[in-house]
Amino acid sequence: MLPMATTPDDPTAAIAAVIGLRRLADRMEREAVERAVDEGWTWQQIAQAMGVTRQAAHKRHAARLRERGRQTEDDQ
Amino acid sequence: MNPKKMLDDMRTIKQLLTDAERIAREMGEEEPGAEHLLLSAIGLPDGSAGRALGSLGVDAERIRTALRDEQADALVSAGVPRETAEAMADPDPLGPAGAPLLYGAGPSAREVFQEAGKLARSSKQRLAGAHVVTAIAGLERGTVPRVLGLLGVDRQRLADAARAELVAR
Repeated sequence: MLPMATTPDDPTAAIAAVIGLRRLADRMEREAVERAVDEGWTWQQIAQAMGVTRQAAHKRHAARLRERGRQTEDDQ
Repeated sequence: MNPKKMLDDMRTIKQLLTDAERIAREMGEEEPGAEHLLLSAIGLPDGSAGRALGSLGVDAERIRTALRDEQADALVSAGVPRETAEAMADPDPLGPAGAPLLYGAGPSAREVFQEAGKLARSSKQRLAGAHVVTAIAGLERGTVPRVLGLLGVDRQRLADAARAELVAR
């Protein structure tokens, strides 16, 4: 078992923790990508850093960022 | 099939799913889960979901608060500092989605939606919020039963309250 600060023993609590961590990770990803775009990164660079295809990174983040008035050089 | 009933149901389904999606995205979630469908059902004009929950002392605001508490506690249990865990409660809205209705719904929302529809059809009633609440009360695991537990709501009593609303219709 992974040593955690307080390991939730029962599966219900452990799964709830996993759901929470996924939400936290998603949010960290959104914030990090937004910062990267602000710093002038391209989708190609973001994708490379994330270890996914350019298409995958674009599909996941581009619409939201465009809504917030942010665009990359290679946005389309 | 009564065409008027069919139209009413279609309108209800549209509102239920559109609102669930909006609520989910306002809360920073990509796709609606059962908890967002529950909040959406409370907002339906028939009022039955709100009344069933209200009879047990619960309203949309208390559900939202319990959801935030549940999520923060879960993160803390995994070792995330409480400050970070609680900051997750600040909304990070995603903005409107491009995906249409149920296609974007998560499995727990689909399960509840389908069960609510089945309940309405088998009782030959118009789809109402209380059908959604009945389906919600049937969920044994996941975010919603945990949140109901936090609120001290017994699932059987919730199912009974929802059924009483449906009988009264």
